[in-house]
Amino acid sequence: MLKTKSEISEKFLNLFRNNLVFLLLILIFIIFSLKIPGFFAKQNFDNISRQMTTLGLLSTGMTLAIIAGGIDLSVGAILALSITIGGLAIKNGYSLEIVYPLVIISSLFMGFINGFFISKLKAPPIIVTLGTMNVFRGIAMVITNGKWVSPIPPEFLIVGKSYIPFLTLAVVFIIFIIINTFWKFGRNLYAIGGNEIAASFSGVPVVKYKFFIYLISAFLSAIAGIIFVGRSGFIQPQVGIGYEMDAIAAVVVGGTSIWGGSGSIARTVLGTFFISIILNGLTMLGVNPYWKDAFIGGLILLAISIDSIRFLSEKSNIRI
Amino acid sequence: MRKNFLNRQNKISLILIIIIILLFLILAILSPKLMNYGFFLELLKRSSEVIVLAVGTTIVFISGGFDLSFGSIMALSGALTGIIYKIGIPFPLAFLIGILACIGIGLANGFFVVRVKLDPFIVTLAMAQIVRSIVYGITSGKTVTSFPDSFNNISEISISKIPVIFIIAVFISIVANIFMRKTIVGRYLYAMGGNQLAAYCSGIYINKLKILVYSLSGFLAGISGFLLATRTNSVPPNTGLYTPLEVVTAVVVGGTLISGGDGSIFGSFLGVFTMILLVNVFNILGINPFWNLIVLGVIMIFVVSYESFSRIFSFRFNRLKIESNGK
Repeated sequence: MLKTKSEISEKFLNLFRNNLVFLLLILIFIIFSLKIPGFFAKQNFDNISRQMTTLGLLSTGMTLAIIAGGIDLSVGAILALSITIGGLAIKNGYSLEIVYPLVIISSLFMGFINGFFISKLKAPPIIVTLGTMNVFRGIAMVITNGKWVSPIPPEFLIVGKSYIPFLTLAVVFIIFIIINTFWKFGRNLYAIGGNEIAASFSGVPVVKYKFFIYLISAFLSAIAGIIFVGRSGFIQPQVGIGYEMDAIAAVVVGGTSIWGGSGSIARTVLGTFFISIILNGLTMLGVNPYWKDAFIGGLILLAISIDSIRFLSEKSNIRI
Repeated sequence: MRKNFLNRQNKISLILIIIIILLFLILAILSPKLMNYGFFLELLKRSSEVIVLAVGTTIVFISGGFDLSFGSIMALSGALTGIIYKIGIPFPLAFLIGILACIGIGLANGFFVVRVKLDPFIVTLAMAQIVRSIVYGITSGKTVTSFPDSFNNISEISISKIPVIFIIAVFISIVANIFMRKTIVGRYLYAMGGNQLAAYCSGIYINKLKILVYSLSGFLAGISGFLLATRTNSVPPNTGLYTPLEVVTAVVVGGTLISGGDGSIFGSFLGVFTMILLVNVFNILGINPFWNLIVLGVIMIFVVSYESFSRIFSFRFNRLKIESNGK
């Protein structure tokens, strides 16, 4: 069938509307590359790729939670608490083979707590993770007395060297794109996010899968923490405050709907790239870091507003 | 009437009063020399700003909304006023601008919730971050201390030995209580929180009410920021960073449902006192202050999970009962 002119233009308009955030970001990208002299230097891209790792890992877990209609605000706190537990083990002279499993297991335990309250007791995810965010942060502060664990043995710094962080991120992204696209677990997340009761009646093990989501999110936070320590060379209980907002920004800018049921890890990969490039560009432009959070918050509001307005215009039913 | 006396709200209030008395006893046993007038004065002053915040949050929760931005708004009101006053604008005008800015943030929250139909959780979370960042930006990360003496002295005034800021807080909560219980708009808010669609279909102008609720929350957060500023005479940019946790815990402990439709200002009032006494017990025991975060967080999670779990459980139970009656 021949397409009429109006059909083509409508399709173009839809494409434009669906990717409005991306277009804006590409605009910002062009402005950055014109304004900042060393923006395309190899050094800068190394920086971006290394900084991107933490954000990318956290936003991968966040994407799974958001697709399934939940959210995980505790990722930053889990990162902080798992590495401070690792830091205490380092202080007591334990070696790498014990510290890394300890960090992972403690993070899985934290994910288990989130998952238990959200899936078993059916408490609202945002409240539970807001609570555990404060609880985990508090525990991290209490066990270290707010002090840094600074002399990190050199074997822990290997994971932060050269391309290891970026390779880890790439591997995680590929694994989760495959899980998200082909596995039963990944596909069922959309069913849970779209309509949880319907999903459960259709035989989707909702409770089990929601458990998995928060376990995975916590696990990825711990990996991000390990790499962060390798990169920065210190362990500090205040680390990761506000990381959850950066991760949410990466997810919603990528185009995953905050209401769940749509989006993908692949979109989050793009979102992660853009957020890290913009954060890097803001730093290089010499913008006061205090305004960075306002920028991220505004970006989140913009992205979800566009998403919501699109939804409202597509379906003319009343959503009050 | 008799049957109604032990309803859910009254039961929670009774339990909280018992807990408050127990906490007082614990305090008295732990440090008898603390039980003097000065301690109570400090307690009342400390609780006044949290009470004002809790009133706003309770109204938002009852109407079925959510607000996490009040901690940052609280910082904004004091910081903005102090900075404008420093430039040379007379204090009453600066005060007015500070309050208007807070109402403006509340209106913006309401706009995103009503017009753009966004989830209030995520809107207020993002708004909290934006406002916090603005506070850091305008103060360049420094503590604002430029308030006139007449403003700083407000917290020292007492009427018949009760600090005036506490009287302001109690006055606000009494007015809010009457508003929620006796006025049509207040009852509409309960109806809206209970079932939004039903309220909409019965002709309640829910969009206007939502905007009212969020701007009221912003306004009360601003007032609370001023109460804090006059008590401490300074506004650091991280003011109220952990306040959302404290206030939300106090409100849910006071029996207000996070899903809306049920709750009372009086319950939140008692909840605030319980939390503050609890924090004081920790302080006196000399425990690391970060334990507060842990304990408040744990209480909040357990109360909210208990509510949602018991609701689901009772729903299933009732359905079972209905089914078995049918057979």
